[in-house]
Amino acid sequence: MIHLKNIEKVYRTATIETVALNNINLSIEKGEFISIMGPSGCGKSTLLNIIGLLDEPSKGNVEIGGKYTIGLPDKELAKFRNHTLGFIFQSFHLINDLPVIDNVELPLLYRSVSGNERRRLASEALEKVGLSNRMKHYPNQLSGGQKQRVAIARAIVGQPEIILADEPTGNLDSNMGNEIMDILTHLNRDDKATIVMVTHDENMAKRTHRLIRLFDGSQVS
Amino acid sequence: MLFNYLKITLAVLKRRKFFTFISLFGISFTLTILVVATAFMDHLIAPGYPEINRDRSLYIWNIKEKDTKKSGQSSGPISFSFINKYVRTLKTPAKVAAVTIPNTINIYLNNSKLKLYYRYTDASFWDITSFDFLEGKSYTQQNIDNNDFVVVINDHVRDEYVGKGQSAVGKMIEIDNVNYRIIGVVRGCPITRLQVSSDLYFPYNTYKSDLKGERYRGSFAAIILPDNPADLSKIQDEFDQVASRLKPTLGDKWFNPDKIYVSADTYLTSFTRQLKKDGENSGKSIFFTILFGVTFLFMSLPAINLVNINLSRIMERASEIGIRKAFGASANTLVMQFIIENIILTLIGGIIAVFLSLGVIYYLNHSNLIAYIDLSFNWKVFSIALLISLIFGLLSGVYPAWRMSKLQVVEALKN
Amino acid sequence: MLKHLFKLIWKRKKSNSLMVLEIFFSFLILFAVWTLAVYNYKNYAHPSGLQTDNVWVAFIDFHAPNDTVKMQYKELVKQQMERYKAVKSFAFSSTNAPFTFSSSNNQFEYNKKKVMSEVMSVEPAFPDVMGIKLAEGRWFTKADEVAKFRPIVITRHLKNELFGNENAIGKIINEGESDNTPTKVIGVIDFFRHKDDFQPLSNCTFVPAGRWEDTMLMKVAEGSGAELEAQIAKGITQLGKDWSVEIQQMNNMKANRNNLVLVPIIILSIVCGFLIFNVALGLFGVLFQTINRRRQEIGVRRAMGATQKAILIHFIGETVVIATLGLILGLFFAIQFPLLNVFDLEASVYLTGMLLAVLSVYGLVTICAFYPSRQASVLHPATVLHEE
Repeated sequence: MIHLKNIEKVYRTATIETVALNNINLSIEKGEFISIMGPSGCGKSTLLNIIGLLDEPSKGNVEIGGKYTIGLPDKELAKFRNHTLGFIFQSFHLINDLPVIDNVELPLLYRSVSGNERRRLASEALEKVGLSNRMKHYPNQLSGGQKQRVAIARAIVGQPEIILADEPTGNLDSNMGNEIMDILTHLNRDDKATIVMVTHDENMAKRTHRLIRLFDGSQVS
Repeated sequence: MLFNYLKITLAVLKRRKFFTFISLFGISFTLTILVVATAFMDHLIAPGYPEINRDRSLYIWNIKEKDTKKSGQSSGPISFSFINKYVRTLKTPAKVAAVTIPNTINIYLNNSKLKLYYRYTDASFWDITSFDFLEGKSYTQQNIDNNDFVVVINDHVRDEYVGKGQSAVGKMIEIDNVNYRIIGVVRGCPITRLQVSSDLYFPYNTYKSDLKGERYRGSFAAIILPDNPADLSKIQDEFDQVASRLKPTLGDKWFNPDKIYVSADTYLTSFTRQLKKDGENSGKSIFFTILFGVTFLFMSLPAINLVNINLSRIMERASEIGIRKAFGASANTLVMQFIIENIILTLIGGIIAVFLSLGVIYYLNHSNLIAYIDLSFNWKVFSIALLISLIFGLLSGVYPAWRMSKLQVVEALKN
Repeated sequence: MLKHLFKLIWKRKKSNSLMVLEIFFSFLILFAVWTLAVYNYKNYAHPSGLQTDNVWVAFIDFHAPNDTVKMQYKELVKQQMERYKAVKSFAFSSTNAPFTFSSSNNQFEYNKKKVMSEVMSVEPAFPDVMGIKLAEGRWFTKADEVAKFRPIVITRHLKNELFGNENAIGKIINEGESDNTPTKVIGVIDFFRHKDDFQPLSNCTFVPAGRWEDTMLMKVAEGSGAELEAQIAKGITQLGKDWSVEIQQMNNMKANRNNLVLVPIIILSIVCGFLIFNVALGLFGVLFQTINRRRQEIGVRRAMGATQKAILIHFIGETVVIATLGLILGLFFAIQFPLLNVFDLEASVYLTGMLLAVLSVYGLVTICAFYPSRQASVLHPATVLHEE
């Protein structure tokens, strides 16, 4: 499903060159649930951004769903993110000015889907995360766990094959964190979603199929 | 304390250069226009060369005859005999000058022509005005009694007709086939001094029409300068008495006036009286209402704009405000700081506006858009500018500050 | 998509309402300026109906005791004028000759319909001097002086008001209230713009001059200048003891009158232009600020599959929707002008003014929104999503 080959990412400023990722080789199969761990600044978010096509590596090849993505035009990349990828962030990144249901509909807005269909799909997705009764609420009326569940609904509404989660439990207490992990596990098992999760938390990592550790931009296990 | 505020403000303004630029542009541009407009109004209304006695004088230049039955009316300047009969006879001691409304005449010299304004005046016109005589002198009652054909010209005519810097007094000037002897040369004044400006001044003995006619209407205006400035309203009252006793002149079958309106007004009122169509009340309040209305409308758009920008600035600093509140700053302190910040901003804008206005005024005075114009940036204009800036600052600062004080700590920190 | 934009704008209505207000005011200003411009342009676009090149006007003051004497004086002047080869034709007219500052009106009545019209009393040579072409009928001649009816020539505007579709030639009408001179229309001219170049089509009536008209119009040869002017002025003044003469060129008189219309419009436009520029800068700044505050939202949208173009369109779209709200408010007020017929202008003038103002506002906000929106679209999603 996802193949990374010799990925290198170097940030350059006028004076300093920082190596964020160094020679990363990684293959993730369809239906896998893997976690990436490592201390702060080890490059795990950069790696996730590269997989998520939000960032380009300085060197190396990214292949997703049998397609090389390096150098694709913006339009193609956007289409990829829209159809194939779903994102979940540590700080939820919901749009505060929109009610929950519209937040969930967001990815569908960038496809040609009718309004009614959008509403139907979004309700379904909210049902999956158990928040159908919060559709008209605004994000700031929700708890952290609820916010993250909305974010998950948003990530899955377009039925992507891959879900990328950047420390989804990082801002939550362990109860809520476990709740989120339950939903993710569920998505992986029942809906056959491929999930790549960056985390700090060993307990969460243990619940995934495979664990990749990064240290100073290099893969250590 | 104030210094501290100033320091904070400057720091804030420096941090957001683009916003500062937009705000200052809006403020200074708006104020520049208002200041220049004020200077222009001041130029139009306040005394100036050579009409330095304007605010101590009364003007009569319009008389209205009304036919209330056929609702017809006719109005215009007063006649010379009207002045002699009803104005010069006022008991309160005062100097009375008679001067015609300006007219134009062409003078031809070597294949080119000069279009000039001319007026007829009496000798006391030169007493109530204070023209600078570059050479020669004004005509006196003696000249008029002798029926001397003399003329006072301004420097523009001298430069064109006689030659720049050459002496003109004693030379002859031919107008409509009549020769006049130049008796004096005055420094010209702008046309905006509506009752006294001209290129040529003739003594009224050279006036071609009969000055003895009994009609009220004619082509003259009277300027009254009381010997004692305190007598101004006394003369007004006295003249009102005279005016109320005036008998309407005989009309014809179409127009038979039965009512007469004429009054001795201060300079501004003599114009505002014409604003209101009937000319029967002073119209001063209408004039100022219109003036303030236009100013307010003109200021409202930039003010909304500034409010909008200020709000953006506040929202940007929402978290900073949240932190300050969290650390115990009261809403009042913050609001105060913001309003002072805004006033300082508008004052800076005001200072820029002062320089811009000085530039515009300098340009207007030195370009030939209006000859001899002498707009000045005096303390009156400056204090009005200052007042306007402060109103502007308050106007655009209060609403955003109110919004700021409403800002919840938690919400501010969350953003 | 539109609904989505509306929701976002509605939620932020407090800060957006100020923008709406600004757009509203700007629209009203632009509406006023454009309406004024359209109105004047429309009038300017009509043919003027007269030729002012090489036409001079002599204002003669005879100081005559009565009209009989004045008539004799005028004969002297006419004889004098015949002597100048460069003067092709000349005619006396009342003081309200074209492009002077005076005006004279009277009421005309036909079939109980009463209409006010400018009245110019002119001599038969007037159309030659002014280059006027008749559309219907003929101009009055010297022979008409003894006719039973007083002949008049009217403008098409007056013809339409008095007679509608009927033929005007030969119609007998009444002038004034009590004056019963029977008056007969003998000619119609299409256009006669005599106040300034921006005068709307108007009523004007030409009646044969009598004895008292002392403004003289003359058509002179191409290239005549101050020399001829001086000769004529001197030639006329020496005929009488205390006459005075002032000669003006009609082109200059017209330019003066045009300035009376143009200068206020130009000053108004400059001031309004600066006001609008001020607003534009403000909008620009506020949009920048808004977009800056919504960086993470932009990141999310990009991550969710929005292309750069979609972001650009989204933010321009939001601004355009806000502008539309302001415009609806503004149009509500602007539409009252044609509905209540304020200022007596044609509805089409107001509508064109509105259309141009709407287009200007949209153009303005699009330009103001474009750069900040473009900045938004090129934001790097990976960077903004990790900002706190």
